[in-house]
Amino acid sequence: MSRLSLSLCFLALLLSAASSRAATVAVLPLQDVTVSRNGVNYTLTGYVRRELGTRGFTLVAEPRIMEFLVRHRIRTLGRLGSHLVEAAGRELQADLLLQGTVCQLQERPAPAVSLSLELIRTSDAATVWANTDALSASDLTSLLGLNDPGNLGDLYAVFFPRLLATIPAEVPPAPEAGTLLDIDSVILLPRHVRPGNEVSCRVRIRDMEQRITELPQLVARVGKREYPLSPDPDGYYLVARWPAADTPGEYTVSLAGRWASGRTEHAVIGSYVVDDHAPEVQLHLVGREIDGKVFFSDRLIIIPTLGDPEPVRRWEVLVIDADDEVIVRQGAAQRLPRRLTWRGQTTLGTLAPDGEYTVVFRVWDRTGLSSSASSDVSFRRTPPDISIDLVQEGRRLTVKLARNSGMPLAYWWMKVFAPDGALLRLAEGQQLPAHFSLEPAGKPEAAPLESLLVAADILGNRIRKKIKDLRRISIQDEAGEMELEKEWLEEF
Amino acid sequence: MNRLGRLGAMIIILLLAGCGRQVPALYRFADLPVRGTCRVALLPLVDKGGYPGGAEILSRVLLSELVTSGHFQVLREGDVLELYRQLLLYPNRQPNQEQLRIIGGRLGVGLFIGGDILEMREVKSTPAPETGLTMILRIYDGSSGRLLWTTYHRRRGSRYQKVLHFGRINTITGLARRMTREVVRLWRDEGMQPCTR
Repeated sequence: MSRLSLSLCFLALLLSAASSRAATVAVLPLQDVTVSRNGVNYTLTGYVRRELGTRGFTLVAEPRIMEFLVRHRIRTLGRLGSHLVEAAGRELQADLLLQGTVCQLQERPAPAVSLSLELIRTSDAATVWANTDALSASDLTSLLGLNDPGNLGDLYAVFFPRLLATIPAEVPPAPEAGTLLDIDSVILLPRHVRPGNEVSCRVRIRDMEQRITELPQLVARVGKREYPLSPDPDGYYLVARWPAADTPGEYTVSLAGRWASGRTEHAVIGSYVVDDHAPEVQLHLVGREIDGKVFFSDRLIIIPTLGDPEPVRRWEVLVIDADDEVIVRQGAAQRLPRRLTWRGQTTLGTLAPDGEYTVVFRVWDRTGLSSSASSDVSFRRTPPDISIDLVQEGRRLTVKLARNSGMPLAYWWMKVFAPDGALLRLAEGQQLPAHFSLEPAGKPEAAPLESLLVAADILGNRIRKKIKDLRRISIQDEAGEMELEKEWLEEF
Repeated sequence: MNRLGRLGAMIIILLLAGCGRQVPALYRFADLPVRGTCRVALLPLVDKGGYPGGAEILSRVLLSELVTSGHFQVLREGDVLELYRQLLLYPNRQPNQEQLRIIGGRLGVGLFIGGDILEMREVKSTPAPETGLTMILRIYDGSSGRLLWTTYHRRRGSRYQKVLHFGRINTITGLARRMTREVVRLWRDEGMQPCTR
């Protein structure tokens, strides 16, 4: 054999040895969800590294991996994105990247471990192998209990070879991939727009500054219309702006890239809604309805609803008095409230006088279009005004009751007590005027007749009058003789 | 048979029918696309099970089973989460159809797989832990975001016990692995096409 032939054979051997070299694997520290989402388990990472080493893989040194993690500020392991995987391939000169998650790890009561591993080809960030395995000491319990595992160390001896048993010795190379639109971020604003208003789309392509000359011709496509993207003054984004269409509806925006070779690539990047009508708001007031008019004394429930429900940007409720003065103004920039309660107080905290009011509810949708609804309400907080008149004929006393003003009554009752405290007469009813009679024993000018009058109108306004001497009402004005009770007294 | 007896028999039949429901159960809302079903993206699972790290565990198990059993191209979870961040989505919330369409368009996804963990538990007991998992996995169209299939699965670890303690699944990860394998097998039997190698 000639010298040249020998050299060729030697070269061929060298080439074959080089082509079958062990793949270089970067083993990332394992994420440990038994600790937290950001937990790391170095112990089990060490076991995985040792097991991979026995299978002929070349491992990237741990300090280099740590430097990579620090450099890229990777805080959560187990879920690296494509760009970080590809960066790991470049910076660590690794063919493959192994990341994994410790799913379970417990020493007691029965030792158990479970681990999920994923082998990723760094050239295209594709997962080429993945396995999840779990092992509990209970799985290895034998009938006679001989050599049963007693701790996690015993389990590891079985677990790791089993977990990595199917890992491929060789990984096929990544298929040839065409240049892709590598979108880093998209800002499409506004999300809801009125017809004719401007829509802007800002797109950033990953590593745009370095690839600016290689980028395809980019256009934002809405329906059949196309809007070319051009760099903004800072050169950070590619920007396109266009007026929103006149027809309401949802419009999908896609990014189209036309490469010099003629190839075109599309990607949906977002959508916006053209809205040309204000939300239809309806107002429902819950109070006491009399002859089609709403009355309340204590609280008014205000329920706003939308005819065609949609998210709102903000809302406002106003209460306007008879002089067109706004006495209550309240609102919020959030969803429509299910119900509001007005207790008759102004925004300043004082109680509004009895009278007629208008409640106005206004709402703005996401495009800023607004609509309002209003409803009248009558606020009546004054208790019923009841006059008492007494007519005396010999021993017989006739008490006459009348309603001077206020809302219709719900009920009234009056008790007249004898001087010894015994109940002489109880009269009651639902309407006034009314009268009733009684005949107290003894002389008319004898001891006073104490009385109690209670009445409530249909709104719940209640009056309670204690009369020290019923007889004296007929002789002199009731001033000083009647007092409006404020404390609860035994009525029965 | 008197009326009470007939009522009792009916209750027993209903109970037996309830116990015997076939799981995993697949509900079809639309057919899978003819092409492009092998490139899938896993959406973060909505965890209602209360097991610590339950969503991460089931997600990793599902990824393993899809890669191993079906030769599916599973996109990087980090890429999906990056788009969640851009679209201001919480990882524990299911994106709506429009958001799925955007994610699908950006990543070139054939199918999305997401779902809910309804129950996930591992109770320490003697002689072995009691494990249980109930989940719903959903398949969405990658280009339209439309819901295509829903699969319900529920099992206890003791369900797989054969003789004595043999066959029993003693870890929640083991149970998740077994159940997802059954679900993936069902999907493939029902026409979900794997990648051609």
